[in-house]
Amino acid sequence: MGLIKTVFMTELLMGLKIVFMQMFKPYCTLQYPHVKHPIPDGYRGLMSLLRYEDGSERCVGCSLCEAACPSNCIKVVSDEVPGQPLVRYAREYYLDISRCVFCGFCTEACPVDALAMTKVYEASVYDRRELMFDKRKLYALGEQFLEDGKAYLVAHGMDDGTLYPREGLGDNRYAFPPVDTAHGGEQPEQIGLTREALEVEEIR
Amino acid sequence: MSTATKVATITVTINGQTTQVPKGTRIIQAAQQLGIEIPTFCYHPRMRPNAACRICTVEVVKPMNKMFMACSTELMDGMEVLTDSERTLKDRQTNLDLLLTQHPLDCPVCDKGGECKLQDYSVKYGSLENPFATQRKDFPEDIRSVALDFNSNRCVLCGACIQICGDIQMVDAIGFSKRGFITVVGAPMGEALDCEFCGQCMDVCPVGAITSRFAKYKYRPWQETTTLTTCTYCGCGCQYDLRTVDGEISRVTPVEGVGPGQGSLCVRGHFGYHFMDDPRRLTRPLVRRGDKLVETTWDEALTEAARGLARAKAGGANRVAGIAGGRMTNEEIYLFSRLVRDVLGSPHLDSSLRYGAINGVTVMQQALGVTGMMNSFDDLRRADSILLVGCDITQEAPICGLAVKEAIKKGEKPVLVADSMKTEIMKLGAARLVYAPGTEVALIKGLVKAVVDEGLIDADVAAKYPRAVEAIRAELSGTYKEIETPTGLSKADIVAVARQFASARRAVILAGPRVTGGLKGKSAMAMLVDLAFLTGALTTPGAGVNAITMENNELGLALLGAAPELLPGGRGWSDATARAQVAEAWNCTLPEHAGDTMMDMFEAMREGQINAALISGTDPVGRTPAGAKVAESLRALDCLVVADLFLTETAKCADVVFPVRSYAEMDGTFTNMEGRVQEIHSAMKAPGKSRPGVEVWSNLARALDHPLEYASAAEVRAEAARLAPQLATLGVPNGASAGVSVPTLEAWLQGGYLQTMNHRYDLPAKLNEASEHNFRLYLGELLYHSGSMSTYNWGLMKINAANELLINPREGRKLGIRDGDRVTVTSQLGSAVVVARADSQVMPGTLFFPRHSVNAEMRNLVQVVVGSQEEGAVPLSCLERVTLARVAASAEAGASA
Ligand code: SF4
Ligand code: SF4
Ligand code: SF4
Ligand code: SF4
Ligand code: SF4
Ligand code: FES
Repeated sequence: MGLIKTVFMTELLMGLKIVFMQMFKPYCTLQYPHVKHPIPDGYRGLMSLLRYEDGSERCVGCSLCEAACPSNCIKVVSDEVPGQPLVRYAREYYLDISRCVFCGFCTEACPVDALAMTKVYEASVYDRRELMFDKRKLYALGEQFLEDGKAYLVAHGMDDGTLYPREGLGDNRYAFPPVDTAHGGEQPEQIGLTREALEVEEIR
Repeated sequence: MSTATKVATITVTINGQTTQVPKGTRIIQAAQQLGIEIPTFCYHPRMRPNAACRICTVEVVKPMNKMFMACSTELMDGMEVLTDSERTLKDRQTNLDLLLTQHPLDCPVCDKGGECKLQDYSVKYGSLENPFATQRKDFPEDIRSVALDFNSNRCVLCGACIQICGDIQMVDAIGFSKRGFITVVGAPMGEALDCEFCGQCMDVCPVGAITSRFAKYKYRPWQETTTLTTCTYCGCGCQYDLRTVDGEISRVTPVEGVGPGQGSLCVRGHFGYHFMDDPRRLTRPLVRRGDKLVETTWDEALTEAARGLARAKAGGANRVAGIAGGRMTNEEIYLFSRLVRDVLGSPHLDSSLRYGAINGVTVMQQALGVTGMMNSFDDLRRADSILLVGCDITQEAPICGLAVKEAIKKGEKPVLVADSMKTEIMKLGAARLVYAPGTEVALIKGLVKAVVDEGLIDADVAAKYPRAVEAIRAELSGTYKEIETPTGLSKADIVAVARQFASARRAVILAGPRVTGGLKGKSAMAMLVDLAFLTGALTTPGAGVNAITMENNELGLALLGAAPELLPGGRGWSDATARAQVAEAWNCTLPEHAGDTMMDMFEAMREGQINAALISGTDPVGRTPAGAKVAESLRALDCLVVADLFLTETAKCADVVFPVRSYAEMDGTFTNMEGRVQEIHSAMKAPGKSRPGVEVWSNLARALDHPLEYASAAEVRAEAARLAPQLATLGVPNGASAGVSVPTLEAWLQGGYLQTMNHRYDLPAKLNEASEHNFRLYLGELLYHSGSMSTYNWGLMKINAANELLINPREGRKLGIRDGDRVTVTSQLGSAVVVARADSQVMPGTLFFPRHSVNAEMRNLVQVVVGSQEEGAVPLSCLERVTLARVAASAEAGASA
């Protein structure tokens, strides 16, 4: 037996048989990064902040995301919008994505659907400091990947696909207190600051 | 305390736990003692039950089965209560569900979110599915007042805010009113709120219906670090929580039941927290280069200061002087005085006590052996009668004022007020004597005379100390005319008040800054001690005589001997044993003679007899009348070293300026007017390279080759407590609530008493009348400002900028002065232009201007009078607060209108 096996190289042939069998099956590897997988809706990728249709910031600086975050990587500095009494916003917003565990709790906590996760999973950078996302960067991401954000919110049952406009927030969603126009307060045109000129950065 | 002894105890059972409580205890109190939580909205431990919110209902099963409100129901013997029975929980849930049908969903932007009772209870006791139809309230938030925002949509109508404003603060500034179908809380008639802004309504609000304008949206309770510390604005020394987010201050909150205020705060304590992070704070040491002060390193500044001081010292130790301020901690004061008296060997040590309560403190010390107040605030709350003399207590010491207000509630006008303005307390229904400004001495003499003449002397005192009583009687031989003329009061009024005071059992005298800080302040205070002595108040527990101290650590200055006539421990410089003790503790020889007072120091500086000075924690140029003169003196110095938080007017004259820390950035202790020693703690980031005062004086001592090294502020206090044992215990009043001991009293009556009697009852010369100067301009205290820091607060300045001249409304009309007009005030020393406003508190013939104003021109209208050799061995100097002036609508008035 042993001799026959050796003479006819049966083991080699048995191996080749597997190879030949696989040759006629479809590919299952991808030419990443040239080719990419489609990412399902609701995928928990890099975080982004969203705006209302009119470009104003959705975030009201309530710090609930900060409270919900299990890895303590969010920092919200809230304040009254200068010149707009009673309008609350996040003067500063930081999210240390290098510590984020992509659990999505923060998006669940947000009462105004300001936070949504994108399908972006390629976060590697050469400089760690770039992983400390600030408010500008987060809104830029929201701008660039708005469709991802919408899809995320729908997939997780937080939105009906319209991305609730400010007036039409659902029954259990938070609506702003009306501003007392009779007493010298101005009716705010927008929530938060107007959109700054955005330089949307490439995500490497 | 003593009344509680006879109350019977009853046995009650709550949730199966049986306990014994005094009769009269309410269910909520007993439950809290057992650690059982009952939800409440309107209940407040310091107020009578209001029973408005009904969230506190609990089930009583014995002796009858019924629902009762825990906050207002008194327990009966054998009562059985269930706080978590099905029925209780059901009622609670319904109550919350009903509230939530109207309550807006504001939590994410509401400043109460995270510490809101409605939130907490809804989570704990509410239902997720609200069975009732919602109709959320939608009324505009009222943001018109400078400090408080009212959001009536969030209000649960518990009434606690209205109650605290009416019952404890006694201002009655807010109430409910109907707007359509919603009830709105706020100032009456829909006006913008304009009140004292004590902020207590906000503190008691269980929800976010009243929030602070200054802290709006700046914090979340769970982000905050809380540090229990002591307020630095006045002698009350309230305790509060300083809250910070990432080392930056977010707000101040009171702590229920803690400290002298028991959880109340005034506007300064509550909203005066903006000076610490003011951009004008000094961040680096400064040294003089020509006309300019330039930033430098600590090393260089210390070396330069040491060199300057050593240069002056080489010419003789008494060529150096030190002036301490009442906003330094006890530890800083101790080290500062040791630096001056030991390291520099100079006798010239004085402090802001000099323009504060020095006269009151020294008289009390000599006569009664008490440093500070005899009575605690608790004594005031329980007093049968309180006589306020020259003391606008609600402005000068607002929380002490609350204790007085509590006494008022006992009815029958127990509070007697003698003042030159119609003060808040007078308006609250106290018996009043309104005298002409600056005539306190005559008024007090009148009161003593009335007691003696009308036979109101305490029988015990008359029998035991006839000699002392006779000595007083002999001084009072004059007629009432000499009292009636200057004060403008009638004999009958004075006698009535004296009679009422003498007949009360626990009778307390409070002397304010206009008594102790006036000319002849020492005599005035001594007369008040006589008054207390004659009426028996000195020896009755809970009664007594007290001088109010204004600055937060003024008493610390006295306890640590920061005045030429004092030594650490509050003892007199003339006390040889005390002097030897200090010399031994410091291992030095103390200077032979007592040093100069501040006013004499300024004189000596001008004449070149003092060449170097250290000033810390006070701003004599910027905050005293005639500051320009002081600046002249300081400029004549060879070396002036100033340590402060800001580049004050005094610091601008300096050669070296040290940036020091504020109370929120270091550890230490302060002594309040009752003698409570209370801690402060480092709570926030200190600006730049500033250092705690203790470190600065220690560094300077090292630079002077005489090291004084300590590891911490606590170590300094431990050393200081050896000389001033009062510093050893924290948090308890240090007075003599039980009355002055008989040996002390007798020692005084036999010792210094009769010698100082000479001239005690002489009246001071009249202000020299110049016919065209027909007003008495008087610098007084304002609730919104005190000490030298409050005007650096943008928050307080927004509430009240302390730059208005107040004038009697009728006289204002006569002179054609409307509110907001600019007027020119002229005295013999010059003239100044200010904005005027009519105020009914001001009596005819009087002008009032805030003492702490930044307006130097106005302060310079008032004279500094040096009353030298007036009474006793140490020449005593005083600042006059009253001067004659005239007022006229300014020529610029048209331009500004
Ligand atoms: S996804 Fe999770 S870990 Fe990441 S920021 Fe949100 S809460 Fe924090
Ligand atoms: S992102 Fe949402 S949860 Fe976070 S602070 Fe803004 S509004 Fe609040
Ligand atoms: S701030 Fe004080 S005085 Fe003003 S309404 Fe509130 S409790 Fe009353
Ligand atoms: S404002 Fe606050 S304290 Fe006042 S009644 Fe409403 S809920 Fe009660
Ligand atoms: S200023 Fe005086 S009364 Fe007001 S909070 Fe401070 S210590 Fe209390
Ligand atoms: S707490 Fe008892 S009725 Fe409000």
